[in-house]
Amino acid sequence: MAVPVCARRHTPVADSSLWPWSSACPKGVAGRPLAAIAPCGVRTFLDARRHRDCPICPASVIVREDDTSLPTLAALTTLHPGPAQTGGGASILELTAIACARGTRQLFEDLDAHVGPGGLLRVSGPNGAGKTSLLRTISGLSRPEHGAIRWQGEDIRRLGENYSSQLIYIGHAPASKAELSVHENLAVSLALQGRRPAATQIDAALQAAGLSARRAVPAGLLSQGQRRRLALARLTVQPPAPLWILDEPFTALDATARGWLVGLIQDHLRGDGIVIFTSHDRTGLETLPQQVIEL
Amino acid sequence: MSHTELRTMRCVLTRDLRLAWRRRTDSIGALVFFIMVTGLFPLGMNPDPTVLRDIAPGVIWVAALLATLLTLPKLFAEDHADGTLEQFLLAGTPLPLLLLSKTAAHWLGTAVPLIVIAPLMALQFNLPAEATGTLFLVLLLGTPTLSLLGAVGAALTVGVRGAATLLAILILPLYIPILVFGAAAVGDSLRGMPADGYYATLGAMLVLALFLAPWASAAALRIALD
Repeated sequence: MAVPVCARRHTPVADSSLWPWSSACPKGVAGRPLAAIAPCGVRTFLDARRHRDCPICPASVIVREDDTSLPTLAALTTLHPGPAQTGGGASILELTAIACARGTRQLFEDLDAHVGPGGLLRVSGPNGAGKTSLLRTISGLSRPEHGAIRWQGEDIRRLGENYSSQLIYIGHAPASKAELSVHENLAVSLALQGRRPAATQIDAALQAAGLSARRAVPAGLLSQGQRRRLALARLTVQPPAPLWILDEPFTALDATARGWLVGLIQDHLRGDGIVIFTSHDRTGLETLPQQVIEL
Repeated sequence: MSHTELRTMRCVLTRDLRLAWRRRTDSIGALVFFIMVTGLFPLGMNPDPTVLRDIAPGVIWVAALLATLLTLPKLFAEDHADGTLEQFLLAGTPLPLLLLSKTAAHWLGTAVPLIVIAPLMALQFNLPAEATGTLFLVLLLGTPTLSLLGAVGAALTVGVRGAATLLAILILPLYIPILVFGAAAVGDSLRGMPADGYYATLGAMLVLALFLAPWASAAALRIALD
C-alpha cells in the first residue's frame, strides 16, 4: 500500500491519524473548482478542466470541492520543512546522478540538484557544454544516460503526460508557424498544453507580451524578438504550470521585454513555481536566490 | 479518451488543415503530379482502349502512391525544424493521438483531392462506370493506410539528411499489399467479378494501421528527438 504524501508529494505522512479522508479518485467531477487536500490540511488548487484525471493518482490526497478555510500551498514550507536546496521548501524536482552523452562525447555526469517550490535554477556554461541537453533531459524530451529525475518523488518516465502537463518548456526554436496568426499560434500552443483559455485570456496574454496590436498578423512577419515574446506569452496564461524550463529565454528580447520576463519569473517564484533557465548574459535575475549548475 | 484529449486532437487537425490551405501549393503539387503521371500513360502507350483499360488500375494506384510519397517528407520536417514537435512530445495528450490527427489532416489535404479527381482520370483509360466506382471506393479505403504507414516512415527519417530517398526505400515495400489489392479490386471489377473481398481486406488493413501506426510513429519520433 502506498504511503500517503502531502499535496505535492513532498513528504510521506507516516501517521495514519492524519489521513481522515478516503483516497477515492474523483474522476468525473470535471468543471467544478477543486482542490487537492493533503492529510496535513494543505490545499493545492486544481483546474479540473486541465487535469482530466486525478493528477496525483494513485490518490494520496483527496481532490474535492475547494475549501477556502484551509491553508494554501504557500504554507507547505512551514508545515513540511523538508531538505530544501533552492526555494526554501521541500524538494519537488530531484536530479540524481544525471549523466548525459552526445555520441561518444560525455557532456556531464554525476549531476545532482534539488529544487523546491519557489526555486530558481540557472544552468550555465560555455557553448556545447550541454545546457540545452540538460534542459531537454529535465523536460523529459531526452533520456539521461544514467541517473534519475523525480518530480514530486516519482520518476518522470512513470509520470509521462502527468509530468509534461505540469511544465512549460520553451526551447531555442519558437514553435510557431509562419502562416498562422499570432493569436492562432498561441491558441494552438495552449491547446497542446491541455488548456482551453477563453479568447479574452489569449488577448490578455498577447497584451502582456506586447503583441496585441499584431494578433492577426502571420507569425512569419514578426521579428525574432516578437516571435520570442509570442513563445513566452504562454507563461502569462493562468493558472501557470508549476515548472518552467526556459532555454535562453532572454535571447533577442529588448530591454522592455527583458524586464517583463524578469517580472514574470519573479511572480512565478513568489507563487511557489519553479524556474530552470539558461542564459549567457546578465538577466536581471542575479539578485534572486538561486542555485547554479556550472557545466 | 477525455474531452481535453479530443479537443487537443481537434485543434491539431484544424491547425494542420489550416496550414495545408495556406500552403496549398504542396497539396496542389501532389495533385498535379497525380494528374500528369496518369495523363502521360495514355499519351505514351498504345492508344488501344482495351490495353488502356487493362493498365488503368495499376497506373492510377502507382500514381496515387507516388503522389502521397511526394508529400510525406514534409509531414514532420517543418514541425521538427520550428520546435513544434518538442511541444507535441510534451503535450498533455498522448503523442499517438496527436499524430493520428496530423495523419488525418495529411490524408484530407493530400489524398482526398486525388480520390475526387481519380474518376476523371479513369475516363482517359476508358474505364466503365462500375470499375470507376470500385476504384473510388478502394482509393477511399487504401489511401488512409498509405498516410498512416507513411507517417511511420516520416517519423523514422525526421531530421535525417536525404530523408526523402530513405523514406521511399523504407515505405514503398510496405505499400505493395495496398497496391496489389487496390489494383486487383479494379481489375476484377472490370471482368465483372465482385470486389467485396478486396474491400474487406483493405478495410482490415486500415483498421490495423489505425491502431498500430500512430503508436509506431510516436515511438519513432521519440527516438528521433532523443
